[in-house]
Amino acid sequence: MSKKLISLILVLALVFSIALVGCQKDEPAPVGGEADDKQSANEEKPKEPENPALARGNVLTFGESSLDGLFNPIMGSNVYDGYINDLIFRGLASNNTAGDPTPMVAKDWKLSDDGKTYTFYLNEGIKFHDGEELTAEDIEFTYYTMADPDYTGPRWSAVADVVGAQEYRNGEVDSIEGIKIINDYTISFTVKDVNAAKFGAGDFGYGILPKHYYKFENFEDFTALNQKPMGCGPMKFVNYVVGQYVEMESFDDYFDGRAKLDGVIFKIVPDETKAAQIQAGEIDVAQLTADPKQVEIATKSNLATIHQQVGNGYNYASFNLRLDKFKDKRVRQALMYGLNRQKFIEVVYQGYARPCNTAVSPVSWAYTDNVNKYDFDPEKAKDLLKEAGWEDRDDDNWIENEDGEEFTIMWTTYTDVEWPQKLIAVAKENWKDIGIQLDCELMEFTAVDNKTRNERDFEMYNMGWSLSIDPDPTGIFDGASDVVGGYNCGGFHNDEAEQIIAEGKLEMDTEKRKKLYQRWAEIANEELPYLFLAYRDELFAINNRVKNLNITPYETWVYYINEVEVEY
Amino acid sequence: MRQFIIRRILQSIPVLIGISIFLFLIVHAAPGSPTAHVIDPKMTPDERARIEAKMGLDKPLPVQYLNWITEILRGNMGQSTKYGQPVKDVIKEHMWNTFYLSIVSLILSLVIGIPIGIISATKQYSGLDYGFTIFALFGLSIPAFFFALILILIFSVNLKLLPISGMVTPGNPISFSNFKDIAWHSVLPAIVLGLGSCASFMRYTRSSMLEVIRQDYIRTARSKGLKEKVVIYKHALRNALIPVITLLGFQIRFLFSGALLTETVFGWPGMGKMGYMGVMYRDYSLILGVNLFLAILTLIGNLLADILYGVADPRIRYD
Repeated sequence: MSKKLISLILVLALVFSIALVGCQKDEPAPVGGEADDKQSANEEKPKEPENPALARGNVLTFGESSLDGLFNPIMGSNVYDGYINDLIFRGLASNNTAGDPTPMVAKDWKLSDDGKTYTFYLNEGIKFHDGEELTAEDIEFTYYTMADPDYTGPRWSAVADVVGAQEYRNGEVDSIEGIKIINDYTISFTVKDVNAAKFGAGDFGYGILPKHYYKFENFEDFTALNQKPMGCGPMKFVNYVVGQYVEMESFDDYFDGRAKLDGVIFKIVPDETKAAQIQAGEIDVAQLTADPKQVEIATKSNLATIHQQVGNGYNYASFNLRLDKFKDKRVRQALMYGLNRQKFIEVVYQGYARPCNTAVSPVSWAYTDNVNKYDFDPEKAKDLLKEAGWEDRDDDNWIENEDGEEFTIMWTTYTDVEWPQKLIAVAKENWKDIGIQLDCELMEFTAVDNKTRNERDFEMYNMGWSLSIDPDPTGIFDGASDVVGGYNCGGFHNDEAEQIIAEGKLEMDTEKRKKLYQRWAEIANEELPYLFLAYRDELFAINNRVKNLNITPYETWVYYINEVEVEY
Repeated sequence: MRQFIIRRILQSIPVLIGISIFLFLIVHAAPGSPTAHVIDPKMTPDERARIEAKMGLDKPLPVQYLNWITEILRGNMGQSTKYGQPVKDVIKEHMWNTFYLSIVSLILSLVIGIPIGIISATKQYSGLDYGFTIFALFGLSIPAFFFALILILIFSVNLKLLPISGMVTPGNPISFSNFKDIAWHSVLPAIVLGLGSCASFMRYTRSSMLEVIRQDYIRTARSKGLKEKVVIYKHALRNALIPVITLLGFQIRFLFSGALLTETVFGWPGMGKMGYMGVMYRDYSLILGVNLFLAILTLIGNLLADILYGVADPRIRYD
């Protein structure tokens, strides 16, 4: 017996010794802090700094889980590629904490009296990273590219409403009537219909591409530059090592002044060890999963602090409103009352979320608290179901309608993340108490998307939305989006909402728009096109050596990169 | 021998055509399309349909297949929709990373697995044998994911000896000049990846060795008065290695196919993770390109194994 034990120990020792042998032979390069020959100042630092991140010098390292490598502001659709694009490129306008547009490449703009022509006055002397000056031609080029017949990127919507863009795309005309260069530093866009949501939708925020560099003679050559981006932003692209990191350095001639940092590195780190890397100081900033365990790991070494904010989005479960059983809003309200969302949030998000009751996020200027909170109330749920004609007619604890059909729900969900399955477990239990049988079918995300949006063959499914700054719900809740492939896959139609959506686009007065969308929030809360679930919190872990890194729901930190400082 | 090789290569052509058709059908049978990952209410169904038509996805499947296979024969594997680059470049960027990690772990597992398999067989039912068997069971049954996280916790987070993830320190290139940095980053992933195959090499060697040393010719060799070392390492081992060579032949494919879980936990930019992302994003050209590439490697691997049999065992002849 003891012999066996000894051999087991020997074997385990063998396994681990491989690693140890490696340690002794190789020179143990301090993790994350490569020996930098150029900076002799580093050598004077104590051998083991308390914060290992200090050894990285005046460079900010952001940890994120994946990159597509589409470093082109009108090609990428991934959030993380977006960070890099926002650092290398700058658009006509940006926005502030309140979500209002602020000058960027354009120092000012004017909207014509009929509300259809936007004239932009550009800052003079803006330089691209190769030293060439930015002019109105580059703006024109960027927006022409989005309308090009050969362009297959995701940004057509930014020019779709410009006069003549559709004709240009169809190949009927050689130029877009609605885009006019007035002089080197002035350009105007004329749209077909007044759209108050245009700035808030980000249409004027896309980074400007230098015409002399990108050319767009054909789409292949254009995409070949995806991993060699060049713009006029505060950071210059240096290097991308696939699946590992993106290296950028500060651009000396940035029109708003050189950044205080020397550069930014985006390091790709697995979600599984992101918090551990914050703990070890291997990365300076990372967005964490909203989970107390992650927070505990990240802050264990006291090297980092957590920034927490309510995100501009929500999680929901959509009903298929074409089905008879979901047509009555009392049934939908009963399902809301009958679900213990507070408990679900406690179980799954453990404090990093709050119940959501309507389609507008609390961070939006259109948010109103004047909505029904749908606190957990099974009795009320039963009453509502009874009113709607659903009650237990044969004493089997399940409710039936007049025809004796039992109320069953099939919930379609995906296994890519954990929360839907935990939610369904809570819902199954809760709804059983009000006499409704819940079953679920599991698949992967793209299959759910296909089944709901393209085939529209479902009863309920869940997903989440990240919203744009403007509260205009076009594309999600308008009748026109209830088509195969559209995002109104539940089939929500409401006349008053339809009218608000139309009026909201025409109304230029922010106060009046606010009233309109607050009314929309009340309608959504009353009519319940979705079972609204939770507003998620967003968590960022930030190493204590980083100063002035501002993160708000509407502004990513990359907007303010110039102010960010690190100790080193 | 030459005839044999030529015949095998000719035989693999219809196999490859079959594989390509099968792959193509499977990929297109999956729900969703390459534009599905653009989740944006501003992306209208019309615009989506236009983009898909630009990619040729509006044509009937047989036409799409013919278009694809013609381009493949011309050496064009198409454009990856997820990575926005030619598929050929995407594969090239990832395959050597995977190859490096796989070869290190393969050598590690051969160097450890075969000798302990031999020792286990010659000292059957000894304490050492039991020890190694427990090790093999441990290696085969422990989930790579879990083992990887344990190693990271011990060696990277607590002892701070090794990096937590990645292939290089940010700022350093993936190249020979940076070999030390890469080697340093590959210690843990190579151990995790090597453990499983090390255990199976050990088990295979042990059982086939046990079979061989009971053969008559081994008894003959012993009765001739040969030294035990010569008996085991010259006469027995060569025959015992044949199943191991089969296993090695299969490994050629794994040298390039990568290991999804290990790559994911360690943030290693290899083929496993890349192929998985291709599937999740319905990146048709990429999935097809990667799988066709691996299919060819599998065929080559099998052919090489067949040839190596002859080297290990002169009784096997191909005429």
